[in-house]
Amino acid sequence: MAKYRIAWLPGDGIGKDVLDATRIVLDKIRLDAEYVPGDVGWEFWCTEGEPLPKRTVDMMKTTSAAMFGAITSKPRTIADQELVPELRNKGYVYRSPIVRMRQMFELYSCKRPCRAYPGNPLNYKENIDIVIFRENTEDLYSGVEFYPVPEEMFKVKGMEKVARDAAISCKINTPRGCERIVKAAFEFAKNSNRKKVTCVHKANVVRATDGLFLEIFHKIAESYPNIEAGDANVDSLCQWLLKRPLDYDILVAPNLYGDIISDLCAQMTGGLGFGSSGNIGDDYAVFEPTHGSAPKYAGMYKVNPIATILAAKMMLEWLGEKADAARVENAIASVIKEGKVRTYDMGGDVSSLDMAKAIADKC
Amino acid sequence: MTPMTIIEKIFTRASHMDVKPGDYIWADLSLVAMRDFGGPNVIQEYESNLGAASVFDRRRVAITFDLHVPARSEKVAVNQKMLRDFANRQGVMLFDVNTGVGQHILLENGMVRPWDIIVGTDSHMNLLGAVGAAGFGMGTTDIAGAMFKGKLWFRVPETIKVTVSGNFKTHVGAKDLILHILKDLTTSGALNRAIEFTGQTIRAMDLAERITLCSMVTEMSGDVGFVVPDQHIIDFIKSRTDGPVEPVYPDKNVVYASNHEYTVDDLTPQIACPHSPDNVKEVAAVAGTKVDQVFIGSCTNGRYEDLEVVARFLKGKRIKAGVRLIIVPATMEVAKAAVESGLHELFLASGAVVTNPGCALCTTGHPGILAPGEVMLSTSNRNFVGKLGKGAEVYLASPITAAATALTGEITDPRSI
Repeated sequence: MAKYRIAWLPGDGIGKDVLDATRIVLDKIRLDAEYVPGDVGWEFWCTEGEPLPKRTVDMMKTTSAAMFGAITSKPRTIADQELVPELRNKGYVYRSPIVRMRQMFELYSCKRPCRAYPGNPLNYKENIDIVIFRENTEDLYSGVEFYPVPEEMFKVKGMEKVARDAAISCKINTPRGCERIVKAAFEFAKNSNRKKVTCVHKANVVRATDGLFLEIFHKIAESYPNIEAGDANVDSLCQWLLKRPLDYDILVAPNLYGDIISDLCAQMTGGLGFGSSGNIGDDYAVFEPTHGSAPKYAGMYKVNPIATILAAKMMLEWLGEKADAARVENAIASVIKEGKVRTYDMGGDVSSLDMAKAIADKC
Repeated sequence: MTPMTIIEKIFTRASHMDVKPGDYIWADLSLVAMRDFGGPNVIQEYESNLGAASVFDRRRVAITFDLHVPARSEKVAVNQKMLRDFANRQGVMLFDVNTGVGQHILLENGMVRPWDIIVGTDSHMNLLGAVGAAGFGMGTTDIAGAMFKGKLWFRVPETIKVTVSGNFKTHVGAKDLILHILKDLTTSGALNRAIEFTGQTIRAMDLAERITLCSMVTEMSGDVGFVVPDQHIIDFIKSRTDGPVEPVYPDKNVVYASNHEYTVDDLTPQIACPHSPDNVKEVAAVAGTKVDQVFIGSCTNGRYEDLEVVARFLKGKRIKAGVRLIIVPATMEVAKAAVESGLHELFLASGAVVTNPGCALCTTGHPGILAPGEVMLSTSNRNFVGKLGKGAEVYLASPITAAATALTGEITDPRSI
């Protein structure tokens, strides 16, 4: 049988466009993999009340890794309205499939490489090469939220100053959660000869949770004497990232800050068409572009597939197919550098599929 | 480079070194399989030596239930539970009692491709050679080790070439051919060897016929048998998996351990008489022998194409009173197709018992075994003393000879009906 089974999850909107394009590249390098299509997305919320059906989760458990396209999420009231009539008012609650995958498969590490490939007209500055490690399962995304807040919570000391009509989202960080993401960042630094890891936090204000994150960061940093360890408040880091992006190498952050700085760094290195993401656990990983489902472009094969192809490249690295990963990245770099084949975001007019073919030709 | 046979090429790629017959090598495995029979011993062996250690790749270990399905006794039920628990603990694939014969399940699920090396606890794993994969049946210790390492040692076998030409006469086919070859090569004729089947007659064969040929390599003591793949076989695999599929061919000018040529133009229906698969005669020579039971199915002859031939023969007729005809589709996919196309109904109308998919009457483990002194004609692959009941006698023949025999109650040359 094929060496790898890859769950193939296009999702909504342009998810199919970019995964179709990515497949052209994976087929060119003849990855010894079988691609197993799975249902996920808004359609399945509307018809089944479940955007990530159990059958898809069961299928994913039989695979080595997943390639994920994009997902449409809508506010709660609209979500409820778009359910088929027989499912309405039955207590179905929309939950983000990608967030659930992260929690279900313990994909604690979100790796987001942001590299300014030479020749990309969208680069903010040349030579930026930052890799972000965002904690992926806890923090403000733990899903522990209250609105209205139950009466018994107000009995806890410290809650007396909270207004009765408040909404509460809990920021939950555990030593285990902090340790494993920080270790992942340092291990990557060590294995790829990187020089510096910077911890992103707001420990001067958010003392309990970010304080824990920062404390664990410095403790783990001691075991990596050859790698420079620094830390920065998330607000000032944003400022410095714009001013002196070349000073940064690897960033490690709790979930929310990681989410925000990922988009900042992605924009500095080409924007939505270039941002890729690996949701990585000890035994499973899901790779995706960071962009959304862009419904207005769905099926037009217009958007830039490079973000997804870079996600596939990250998957190849994770699977241990390092030579193939390098082939794909070199081909992407070469197409960008030549500047002849460009999608609309880069000022050109080639389709998603033609961009993929140009990359495949150079693999 | 020295020209290579199919197995030498497969072992060269999987061992990352040039091999020649007689070499001892370590080869990477594509898949490790075990079944409800043999599987529990593997797990005991694995866990007593390796404890809770993870298997080499949980996505490339498969457990198939095909022998005692559904569980026929408490002991079997306990064993099957042990396998299900192991699958849950380790996250490996499990095909439960509603699926069918393991090798066929692997084929239908796109888990077998040319170049693959697949080991399992079933002695007929080598039928996977029908699509150009190297299948090996092995014992408990080997499978336990394979499941941990993803590698095994092999001795590279010499290869025998079997070339077949000519066109089959009506009611004569692949099973008659392989029984004829067995008679010639005997049950030890391929010991420690691989076989490559080739030639005009073989090229025209569909997957079911190729499976029939390759499964019987076991009865010649062969390691593995291959049919050189043709486009329709590649198309079948591609319809089951979208992973890359690359056929494997022997090089030209290979020197084989021996060459055997057969023509089928004048081949008659063949039958293996008790108690050895190479005790082969023309059906006509034993025609008239009374039978108590006829079995159509097994890993050798349980495909849809096999059932279709039988149905055409039985259509509108009833089997002889007093004879039991047991028909068992190899897999649920075959069973469903038989229901949808009306074969199932036709079988019932003819007086047959049709049971759930599985290996069925290959061993005493399955309902339908014989009383002392009873005689059965079977489409299975072996007829050793006692394998289907003490004091019983088993003949092996093609599905169509089996159908003809069920109609008359005595061994019958299908051409005489």
